[in-house]
Amino acid sequence: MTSVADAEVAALSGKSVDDVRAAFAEWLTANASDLAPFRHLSTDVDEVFETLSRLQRLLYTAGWIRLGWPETVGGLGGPLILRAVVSEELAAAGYPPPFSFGTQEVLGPAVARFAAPELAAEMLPRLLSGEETWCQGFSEPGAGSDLGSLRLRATDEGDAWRLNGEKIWTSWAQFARRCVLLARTGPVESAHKGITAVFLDMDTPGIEIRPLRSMNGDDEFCSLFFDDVLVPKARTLGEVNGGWAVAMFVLSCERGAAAWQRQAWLRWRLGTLPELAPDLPDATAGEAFELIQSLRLLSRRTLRSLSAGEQVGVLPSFDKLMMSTAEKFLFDAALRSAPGRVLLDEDEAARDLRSDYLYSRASSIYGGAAEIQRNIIAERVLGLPRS
Amino acid sequence: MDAEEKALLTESLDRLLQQTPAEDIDAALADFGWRDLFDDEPAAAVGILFELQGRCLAGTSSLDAAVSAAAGVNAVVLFPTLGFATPSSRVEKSGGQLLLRVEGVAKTRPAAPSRVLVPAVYDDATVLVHTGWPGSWPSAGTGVSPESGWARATGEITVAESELIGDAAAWARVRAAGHRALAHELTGLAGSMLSLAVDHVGSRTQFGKLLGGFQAVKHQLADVRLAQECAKLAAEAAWEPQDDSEAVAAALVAKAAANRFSHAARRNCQQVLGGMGFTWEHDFHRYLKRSLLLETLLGTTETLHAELGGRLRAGSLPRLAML
Repeated sequence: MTSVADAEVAALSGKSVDDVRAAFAEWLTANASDLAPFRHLSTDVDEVFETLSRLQRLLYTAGWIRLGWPETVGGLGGPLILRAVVSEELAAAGYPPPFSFGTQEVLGPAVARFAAPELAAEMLPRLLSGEETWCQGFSEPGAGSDLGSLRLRATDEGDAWRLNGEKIWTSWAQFARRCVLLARTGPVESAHKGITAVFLDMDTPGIEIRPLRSMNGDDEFCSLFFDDVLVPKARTLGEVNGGWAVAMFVLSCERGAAAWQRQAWLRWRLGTLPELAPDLPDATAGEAFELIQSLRLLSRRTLRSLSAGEQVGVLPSFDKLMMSTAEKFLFDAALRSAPGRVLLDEDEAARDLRSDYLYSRASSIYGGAAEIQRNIIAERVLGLPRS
Repeated sequence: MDAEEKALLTESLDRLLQQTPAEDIDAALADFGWRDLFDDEPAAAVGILFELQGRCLAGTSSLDAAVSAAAGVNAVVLFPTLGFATPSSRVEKSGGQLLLRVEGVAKTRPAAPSRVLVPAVYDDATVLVHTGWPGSWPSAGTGVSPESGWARATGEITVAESELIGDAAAWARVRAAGHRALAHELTGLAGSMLSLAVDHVGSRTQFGKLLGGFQAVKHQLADVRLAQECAKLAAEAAWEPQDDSEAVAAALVAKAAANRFSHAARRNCQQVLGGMGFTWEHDFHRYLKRSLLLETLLGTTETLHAELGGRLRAGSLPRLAML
């Protein structure tokens, strides 16, 4: 493996997007044979995590995924947009994203922004380097789209919060070392004004993790049960009762930066379909391209705003709605054109496609259901009456 | 051009289009200096004018100017028959002469133009013919929307070899210029359909409640609004590429996204306008009819998609809209 001196990559943090793209693409080509094992992932989840962590460590050591993160949290500096360049080139070259959506781009920025500086400085490098992964404890059995009604209770114990309650749909909690969690610190009637975000260690006594197998057979999702779990108050993210701001920031990252990774992956996936589904009509492939391109344009705008430190407001609702529209269209098209491949075959490519098809069904549900995005667009963009 | 200059330009062009009688609009645009602006800042000149003319249903002959300029001439364009993204006219050898058999559609005008630009098929290849027009010219629009000023144009002209001024690559540039302009115009047209629908559901009550308060209504209009956002971004992004192959693909995406917006607006806005949108008195049908025409000009949505898909299959679809 060619070793790239940190100094060489670090110098890129002050360079243009095009320079960084060219340098990274060159590095990927130069190291293609060493990177080849990362192109195909095992179907065993433990091995997948192990492999992705190795890829991530490699990219971290070389410096690439430290670009666009502040030096105070272990990054090499430069605008946020450089992160999107690296993730896109990786996907375009056919490598899987080495970091789960649930961590690097979704939770990383929130901890960098809302954690005490020394905590962020300690924790972010562990996330970026692949040393550990994190998870997100937002949804509850009674609080999905209506997140503001969450009930997991955090009671004030002086120096600590005592947590009691339940979370659901937490991705990959069984592998996670930390969790960004939303808890109720005000009365239930306070809705989104009585929520506080905390950053807790997953090995704290009192947390029980139960996998919740999803319809594609993955154990991605988990239920979490909290029984008198104590979290130091120093682990509070943002203000007490100000957790809604943290949640909204996390969602804007998820609908912004993570959507960019998703469109890069969808574009790569579309490119694999002519071979997997030879009967895919050109017009359908072209329509999928148009939809993915629309997602790309929306997401590029959001990324540029985030990178410039501007407020993105309600705009990411467009990104989220288009993301599920494009993703479902793509895999519906694959199913229509190659039903035998998607539904019956047992080779690796067919199993991947089947899993991707099934997973795409959730794209209009997770991270704020499509109905919520439509409500936001109708009420806050078009100005129609609030329900 | 910065945002403030664009806003000023939009304001003055809007005033010009709203206040000038239809028959004087081309002359007014010439006085305004639109052509110079187009030469200097084509993206702003086309983007702003076409979106506005869509929004207020104005009729200008600027499409001819914007499209023929891509072939390096200033001529009236004979577009392929509706639905065609490829030339529908032909050049044939006939007794030692070249005969152009014109089969297409054109913007109506009071008198025949002196020069026309005709994309045509000649020996299985695409050519652009820049020639005189000897016959009469359609002076009134026909069919679904006479006020939009589109009609079939046919004829046979003897042309000289020297009048074949472009090849398939030149046609691709010309067509891309058309796709970009039409994408902006459709975005304006469909934007007006959406505004009409939003105004309607925000003022009319049924069952004691504003129509816009019903979630079924909100969601239909939210989908149109999403298509609008995508169409606007795609139309702007179509001006980014420097390279021909990328520009053609970006223009296809822009036109397809505009068609999606227009189609969604025709369907959902009409639905929530209810009976009002079906009357002659309400303006909705004028927008609907013009967008039906423009959606199929220079290729149906399916044709555009098929071309993109074919390039994807061939591995020649470039990456667009880089960070």
